Amino acid sequence: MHAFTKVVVCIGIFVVTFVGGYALRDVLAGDSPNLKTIPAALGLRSEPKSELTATRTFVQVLANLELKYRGEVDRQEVTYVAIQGMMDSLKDPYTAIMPPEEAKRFDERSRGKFVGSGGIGAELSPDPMGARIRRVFKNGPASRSLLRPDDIIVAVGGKEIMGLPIEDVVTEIRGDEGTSVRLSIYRTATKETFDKVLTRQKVQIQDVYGEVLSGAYVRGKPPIGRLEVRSYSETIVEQFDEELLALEKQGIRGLIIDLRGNPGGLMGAAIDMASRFVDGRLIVSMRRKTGQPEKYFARNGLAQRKPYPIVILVDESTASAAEIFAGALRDYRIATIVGEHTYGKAAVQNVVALVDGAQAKVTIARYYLPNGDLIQRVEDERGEYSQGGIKPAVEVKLDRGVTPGDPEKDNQLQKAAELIIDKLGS
Amino acid sequence: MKLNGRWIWSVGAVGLAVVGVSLGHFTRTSYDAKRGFPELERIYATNPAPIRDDGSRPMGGRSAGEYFDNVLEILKEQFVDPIRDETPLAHGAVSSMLQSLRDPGTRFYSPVEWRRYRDQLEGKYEGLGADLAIIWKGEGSNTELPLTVVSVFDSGPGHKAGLLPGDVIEEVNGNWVASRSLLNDLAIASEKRQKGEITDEEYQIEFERLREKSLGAISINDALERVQVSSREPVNIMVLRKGVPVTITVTLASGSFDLVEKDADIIRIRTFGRGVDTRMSDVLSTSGDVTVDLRNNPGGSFEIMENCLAQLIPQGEYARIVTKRGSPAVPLLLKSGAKHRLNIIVLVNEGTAREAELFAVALRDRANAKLVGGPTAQLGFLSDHYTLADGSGYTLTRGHFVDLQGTSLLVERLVSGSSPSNQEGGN
Repeated sequence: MHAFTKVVVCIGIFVVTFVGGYALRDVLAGDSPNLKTIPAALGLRSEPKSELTATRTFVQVLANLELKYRGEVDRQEVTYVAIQGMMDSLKDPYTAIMPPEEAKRFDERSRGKFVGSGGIGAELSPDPMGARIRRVFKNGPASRSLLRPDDIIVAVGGKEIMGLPIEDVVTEIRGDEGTSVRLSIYRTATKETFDKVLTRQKVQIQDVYGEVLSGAYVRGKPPIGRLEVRSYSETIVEQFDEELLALEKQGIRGLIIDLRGNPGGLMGAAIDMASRFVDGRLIVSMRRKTGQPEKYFARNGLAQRKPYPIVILVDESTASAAEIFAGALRDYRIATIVGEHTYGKAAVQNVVALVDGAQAKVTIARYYLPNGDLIQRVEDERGEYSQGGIKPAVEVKLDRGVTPGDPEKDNQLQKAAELIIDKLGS
Repeated sequence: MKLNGRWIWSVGAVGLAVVGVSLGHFTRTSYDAKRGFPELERIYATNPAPIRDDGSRPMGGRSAGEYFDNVLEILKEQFVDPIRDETPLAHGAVSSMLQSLRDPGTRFYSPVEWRRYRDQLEGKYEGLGADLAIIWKGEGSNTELPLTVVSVFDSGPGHKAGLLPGDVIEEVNGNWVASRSLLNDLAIASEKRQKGEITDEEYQIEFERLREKSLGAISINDALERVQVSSREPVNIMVLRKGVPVTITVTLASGSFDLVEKDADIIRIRTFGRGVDTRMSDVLSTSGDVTVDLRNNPGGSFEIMENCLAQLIPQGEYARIVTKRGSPAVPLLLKSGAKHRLNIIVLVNEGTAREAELFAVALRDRANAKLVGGPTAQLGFLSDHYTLADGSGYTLTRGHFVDLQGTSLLVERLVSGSSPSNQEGGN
C-alpha cells in the first residue's frame, strides 16, 4: 500500500469510529443518533444562543424544582401546568390541555349524556350565591319537583356551595341513580327559600326546545314556531328533527331557529343540521397550516325546501358550530339572520387523547363560510369585541333586563316574529 | 516481515478504532455536560414518575419529559400557525410552572426582566426604583397576588414620590392590576343585597363598577413591565397602604445608587451586590462603634452577604436554613470570622428583606448588635438563580432562614389568618 492510501484509510477508520462513539450514547438509549451537533461539540460552530428548546428547558427546570426547591412538587401536576403555559404562549384561547378528570366530564357533555350515575335533570350556571338553574329538562327530577329556571341552589345536602366552582357543585349534586339529594333553593322570583328532596335519575340532556309562539304580539297571527338549539352535541340532530316535526304538525307558518347563547360543539352536527336545508353544497371549508383547504359539504337527500320563512336568532354568545350553521343558511339565502353579531370563533380544534386519558385540544385550522368569509373575532386591548362574527341582516339588541325566550318581553324574538309575519303578508 | 507488517497494521487499526470510539464518546459526554444536560436531568427526561399510593401511574407511565415532548410535537405538527421558534413556548411553560407554586421567591424572568434583576445587584434600576415582589396570600378562590413594594431605593423616582415599603400596587394609570378574582367582591355585594343592606340599584352599580374594573385590568406581569421602564410622561400609580388607597404621580426613570456608603461610623449597605464585601473590608474600622444601616436593603447575593458577615461576627453557626418543608433546619456556618469585636447597631425597616434580614439577626445573635427600627419585611428566604441560554432566567426558593432561637424569618402568607405578630422577623 502506498503511504497516501494508508493515511486515508487511517483517517477513514478514525472518522467512522469517532462518529460511532459520538452516537453511542443515543444508540444505547434507544434514540436515533443525533449527529448534527458534532460541529458544535468540536467547537467548529457556536451554539445558537438566543433560542431555547422547550422540552429541555422544561426538564431542566423540573429537575431543579424537585431537587432544590423548598416545597414538595407534584410532578404530574406541574407537567400539566407547564404544558398549559406552553400552549398559552401561542395566544390561542382554545388550545389547551385537559387533565384526565376534566377530559372525562368534557366527553360526557359533548356526547349529550351523563354516563353511569344520576343527576337532577337541570342545566346549571355559576352564580355568586351558588348555582343558578338555567334549564330544567323535560320529565327529569328537577322538573317533577317544580324547580324553575333562575332558581338558585344555595346548598346541597345541607352544605353551602357558595364560592364552589360549578364543576364541583355538579359533582356534589350527582350520585348513583335512585339515591336522593336535598337541595336548598332560593327562588329569585319570589325571594323565598325552601328545601326539596330529589331522587337522582339517569338524565338525557335536552338541547333542543320547540314551542309555538304565544306572546301578545302574535295573537291572531299565523302560528310561528321557535326552535331553541342550545348546543351542537352528538344527539342534537335527532332532537332537532323530532322537535321540528312536532312544530310542523302544529301547522307552523314560519320558523325561528334560536341560536342565542349557543356556544357550538361538534362541527359534524352543524353540517348534519344544515343538510336538513341545503342539499350537497359547501357548508364550510377548513384551512390548516399547510395543504389544500378541506371542504365539507352538506349530505345529499335530506334537505327539504320549507314552505315557510325561516329566521335565525343570534347574539354574541352564538359561536363556532352555531355560526357555521347560521352562516350556511344565510349564504344560501334560506334564512334571515336577526339579533346581534355573533362571537366569531373560526378556530377548529382537534382533540388528541394522551396516554393517561388527558386531552390536548389544539387549534388546527380556521374555517371559512361558504361565501369565503373568515369570521375570526378580533378584540381591542380591553378584551372587548371589535370585529368578526356574523353580522345579522336585521340588528336588534336585547332590551336590558330581559331573559331570552321571555314570551312577552323578548324584543329580539318579537322582531324575528314580525319579520316572518311581514314575509307572509307580502 | 510482510506478515509482521500486517499484524502491526491490524493492531494499529483496532487501536485507532478504539481511540476513535472513546474520543467520540468523550466529545459527546463533555458536550452534553457543557450544555447542562447532566445525568440527573435525564432522569426526568426518561424515567417514569413514581407510582402513586393508589397504584395509578401518573402520565400513563411516561416520563415528564416524554409526556411534555409528546404534546410539543403535537403542537408543532398540528397547530394552525407554524411554530418556528420554541423559545416563547419554553418561556410559557417555565413561567406557568413556577407561578403555580405560589412562592414569593420563585419566578420566571424574561431576558429583559432578568437583565434588570441582575442590574439591581450592581446598583442600577429602571422605572420606580423599588424592589417589587408578588407575595401570595390566601387560598383557592380567595387567592391574592399583591404586587408588593419590598424596598424603595433612596432618591429614586418612587422614593421621591413617597412610595413606601409594604405598599401594594393596585392601579397603574387607572388600569387595575389583576391581583385577585373580582368574583369575591361580587359575592360580597350579592350577599349584601340578599340581606337588604344595599338596594338592587346599588348592586347593579357595583356590578357595573366591577365589570369596568375587570375590562381595564392588566396582568401582574404587565404591571411589572409598566413600572420598570422609563416614562416620558408622569405615571399615576395607586397603591394600597395598609389597605388605604394612596395615589402617587411619578415620572419613571433609570438611575443608580452606591451599593455601600460610609459616613462617619455609619456603613450603609443598600444591596448585597457585587463588590460589597471588598468595599466593606476597606471601610470597616477595627475597633469602636459601627452602625450598619440595612434600611430598604432587599437582600442580594447570599455569598456576598456571608462575606460581609464574616467581617463582623466570629466564625461558627450564625443561623439556620430550612430547605425541604418538614425537614430539620440546616446550620449556616462561617468558616472564618471577625477577629475584632465591634459595638454594632443595626438599622432596619419594613424594606429590609431576604439576605438583609438574615444579616441583621446574625449580627444580633452573634455580635450582640442592637437592632433599631423594624419590623422587617419578613421575607427571609434564599432564592437560587438560574440563567437560561437565551438570557432569560428564573429563581427558585431553596429555603427560609431561621434564627438561632428557632424563629422563622419568613412569614408564610399562603394560609389566610396566619398572624405576622406571633412570628417576629428580625426585630
